[in-house]
Amino acid sequence: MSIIETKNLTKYYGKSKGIKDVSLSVHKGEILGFIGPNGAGKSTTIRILLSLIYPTSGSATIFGKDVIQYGPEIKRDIGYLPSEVFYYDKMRVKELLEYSASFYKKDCSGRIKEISGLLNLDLTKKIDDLSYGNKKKVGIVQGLLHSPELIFLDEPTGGLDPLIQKNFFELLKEENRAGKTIFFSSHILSEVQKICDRVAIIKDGELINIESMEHLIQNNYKRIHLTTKEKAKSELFKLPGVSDLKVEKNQVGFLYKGDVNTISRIIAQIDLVDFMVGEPDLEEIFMHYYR
Amino acid sequence: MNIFIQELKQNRNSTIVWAIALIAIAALYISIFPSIPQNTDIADVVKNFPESFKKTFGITDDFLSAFPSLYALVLNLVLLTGAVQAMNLGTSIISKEVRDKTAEFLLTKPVSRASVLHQKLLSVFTLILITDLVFFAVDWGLIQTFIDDPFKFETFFISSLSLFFVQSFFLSFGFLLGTVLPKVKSVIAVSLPAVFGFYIIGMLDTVIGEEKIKFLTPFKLFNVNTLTAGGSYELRMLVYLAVLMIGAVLTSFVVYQKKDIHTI
Repeated sequence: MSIIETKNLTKYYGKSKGIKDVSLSVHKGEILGFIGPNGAGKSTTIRILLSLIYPTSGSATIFGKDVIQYGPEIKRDIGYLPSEVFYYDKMRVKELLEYSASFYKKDCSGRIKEISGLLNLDLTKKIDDLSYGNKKKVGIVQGLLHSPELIFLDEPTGGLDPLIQKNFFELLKEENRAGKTIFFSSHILSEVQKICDRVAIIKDGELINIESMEHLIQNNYKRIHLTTKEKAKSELFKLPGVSDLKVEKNQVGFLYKGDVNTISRIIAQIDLVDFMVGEPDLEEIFMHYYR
Repeated sequence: MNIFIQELKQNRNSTIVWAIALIAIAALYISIFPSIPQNTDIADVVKNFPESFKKTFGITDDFLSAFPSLYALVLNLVLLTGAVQAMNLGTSIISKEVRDKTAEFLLTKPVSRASVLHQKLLSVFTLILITDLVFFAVDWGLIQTFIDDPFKFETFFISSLSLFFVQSFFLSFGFLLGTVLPKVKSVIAVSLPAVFGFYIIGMLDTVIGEEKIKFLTPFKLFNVNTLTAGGSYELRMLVYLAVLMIGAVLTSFVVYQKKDIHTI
């Protein structure tokens, strides 16, 4: 069963395009990564699904119900962590979480304690006095305290230190094992790779592709950068899977897709000063993966 | 009713401050009234005040000798102050969620926009009602304490009720602006011009005409001097006020249901 289903969802802000013809479905119990550069339309899509903004055309359902008509009802089982967290500054963390819990007709106090303990969040502080990362933690707790069936995360890890990030991902995996569906929006590929089952890629407001994580990894490009003692011959790298090759003085850089053994044998023939393999950024993925 | 309670808590302190301000204005005038010497010299001075000055503050020639006339002056000042309180409250109650970027938090909870609006509207009306009840009680106490020949409770109550009517108008008007305007950057920048604009319109009664002006500004819906002298409200003006308020509130509900909530 599809938890989220959108049909030709389109949103224009005046004349400028937010998203266009976005049709996707999210299955129960999966973690869907939703990736794209800033301004691609990730937040717009989420905000339509939460009926914060209304689509220009197209429709969307969550749990099989129209998001506009049944908004309040659907939201009982939705948790949302926005990309930028803003809460009532004068309140204390505990007050805010209790206020948040008061919207759901169940006791959430146990869950509040549990999650804030896991994230190391001080409940007695004033919201105003919190750092960005700590506000983000408040966001996580308020998004999860009612054990929602569907969780929306909009660039959730900004500001969290690696240790807390790890705990946060553990928490998400645990929720997912319990059958919860997660819609994970991000512009950081590695983050999505760590946790998602499927990935939807959005660019300039349009959904380019949606495929399984496995498939994406198989086709993954690596950004390879070499610093050589002498200028390397560029012919060495003329093989299938290499693109965007640049050889300047003692620097070599290119994108590689294919068997890593092949490329490592070639690199082994060169006298190296330094050697770097990294992930291409999303722009590069868009440029080379989908040309 | 969690939003209702939340708003009462959030606005508690500012409501206390406003109630104190209203009481302070009344206390100042009521307490000095007994010590004003009653002689013809002073009456002459007042008589020679410029007409426009007298009009602005609703002063009649006998305001230093007859308490009902003084109380009309007090009410005029209280109405103006109370209008600012109500306008601030009405304008900010919805717009602050957008300004402080908390709308996203609130509207992703399982609550309909209509419910958000009605709980918030109810909370601001409650706050105004509390302000007015406290003001009435203390004000009546002050009058009993300082004035030898106070007017009847009925006259006091009916005339002071004008505060609630004026505030109700500005509350609804502010509520309308707070929901309809895309973004209110500063509440004061909206509320002060609105309140003083209506007040200034009220001073143009000789130009516009006594009958027309009643419909143009809430400050002239009724004549405070008539009320403190034992008069009552015109029913048609109260109906007119109710129609304006219902119109403003309904428009807010319709517009807010369809509004896109932006973060940035």
